Amino acid sequence: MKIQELHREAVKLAKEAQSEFDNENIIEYQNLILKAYELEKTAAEFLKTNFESEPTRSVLYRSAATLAFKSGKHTEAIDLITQALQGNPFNEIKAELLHLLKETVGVKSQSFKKNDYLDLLNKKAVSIKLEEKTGKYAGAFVIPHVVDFLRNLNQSYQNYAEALFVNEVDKESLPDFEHSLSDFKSKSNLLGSHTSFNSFGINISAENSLMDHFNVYTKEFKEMKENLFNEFKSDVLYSDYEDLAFQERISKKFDDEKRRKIFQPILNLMAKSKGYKISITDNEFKEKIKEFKAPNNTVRQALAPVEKKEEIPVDLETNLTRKIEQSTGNKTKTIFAENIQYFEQNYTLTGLESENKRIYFNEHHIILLIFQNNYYSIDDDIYQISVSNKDFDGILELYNKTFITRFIAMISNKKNLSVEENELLEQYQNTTMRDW
Amino acid sequence: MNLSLEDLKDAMIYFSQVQCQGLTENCIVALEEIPHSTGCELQVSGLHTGKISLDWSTVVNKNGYKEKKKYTEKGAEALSFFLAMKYTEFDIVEESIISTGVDYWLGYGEKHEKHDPLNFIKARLEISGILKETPTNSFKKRIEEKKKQTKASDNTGLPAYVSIIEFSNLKGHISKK
Repeated sequence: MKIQELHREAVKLAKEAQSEFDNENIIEYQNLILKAYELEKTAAEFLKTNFESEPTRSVLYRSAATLAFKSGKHTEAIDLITQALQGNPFNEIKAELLHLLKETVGVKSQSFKKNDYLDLLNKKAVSIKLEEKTGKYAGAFVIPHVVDFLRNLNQSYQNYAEALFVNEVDKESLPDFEHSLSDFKSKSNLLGSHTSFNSFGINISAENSLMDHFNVYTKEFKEMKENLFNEFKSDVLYSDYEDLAFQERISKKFDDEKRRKIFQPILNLMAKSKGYKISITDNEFKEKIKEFKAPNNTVRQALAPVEKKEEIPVDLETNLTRKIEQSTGNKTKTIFAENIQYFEQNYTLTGLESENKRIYFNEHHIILLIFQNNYYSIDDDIYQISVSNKDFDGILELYNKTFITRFIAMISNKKNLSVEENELLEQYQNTTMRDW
Repeated sequence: MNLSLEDLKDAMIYFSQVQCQGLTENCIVALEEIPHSTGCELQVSGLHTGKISLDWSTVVNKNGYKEKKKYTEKGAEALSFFLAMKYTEFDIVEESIISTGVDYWLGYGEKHEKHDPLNFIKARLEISGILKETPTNSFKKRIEEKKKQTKASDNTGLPAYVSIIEFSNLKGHISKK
């Protein structure tokens, strides 16, 4: 391809990227801006030693550096600017290159990352602050408190996503509703886009376009996905829990079980017994907009009503029990038993199987199984699989099925995969053997 | 001289037809906002002095064109492209990618004898649009501002052209910085 054609194609992709950014389609934006960068860089590098080709040479290098900066590739951006300056750029372009260099170096040396994607997340984020109640840590915070807070908040969000999915998506519109629901829930994770360490403050956001669903793309699903975080903010974070009108509205929107799953983790965070207090603040973590107060019984009953035992079959409840038993001869008696709220265990896999298809790992693969709030869950970052289930056998079966289904979907949809999805497919292919 | 605004899509061979049609529509919206109608005359100054009759037939659905600043800017781009192609030696107008906005570049077309595939960008085109001039934001003042920005002529500056379009009194200016 000629230099001008490469450049023209890069400009076209950059414009498409901007359009996706304006529509908050971040994953598409990132893919396009990266492709635009690769093309513009190739065009610029054709003129690497053509120092007399000004202004074209420095204009192309400046464009490529700008795209590198937008892609978060700050080192590459600096390198491209340096290449441009080694030529003979016109003064105007040189001034622009130096300005871009200053901006890039400034961003690179900051303690936090800055790029268009994070800016967009921060724009719609909620700023939440944790403060230790005792004050004895003089502004420092207890790490387990932060972990507890983030885990419960994320749990609430996942349950909210699940509830909204069930409410808004027609079961008949999907070939495997339960699988899609589980997949959607597991991928609905909050993102922390900016933190402050004066007490503990974090910007919480969510990016639903990050979720890829190879077999789900109905209009109602798309609309639900786009509104998910905004509705979560409105219903769970900003609402006044003591307001009777809110309680009535949310009771109509979600049934008892869904409300319990959504709000119980939040009510847990607000309990008097917690060693920290939570507030929503302005984006500098200074002015408090809302403080989460310990819930009274009316709030608890409205938002997380106690399960009516006679309505829920016992075999649907999942409890983990730790027992200490004494054995004397043939007689065994339980000395101590406790229900476990949280449990985690590593499992080593050599392979897996689902629906007569088998995968063998080239090297043993370790997954972490977690039990919490009556659910088992597996979050596998390497193969990007997140599943949850109430049953121990069920979770492993679901993991196996999700792994193989996903692998098959990526292979059959290879032409339409994004850059990141292609990298994931390579990971699957390079680390496993399959028998189909 | 006559200029049909719809001809932009055929004149700009390196831009997509869709984009050119968009620019044309923005220009029509800006003109009709004043309101001007087809056959109105653009008074040109700078590299050329004279009048150009502007014609159009497209009926634009204006529901999508509510932001004045945007259609003024895009409308000015459309007319500036015509002026640049007509009154400079260059006939390529293309966009570049910068962090703060958009630049347009001029160069020789691929069929031109001076075309250099290794140095196809020759000059910058800076475009400015005013919907309705005011005493503090007048056409004349904008030209003067652009001229002040020019560094002392020492042949080391980037070749650049300035185009300013004012819609209410229908004035256009194109000159080399």
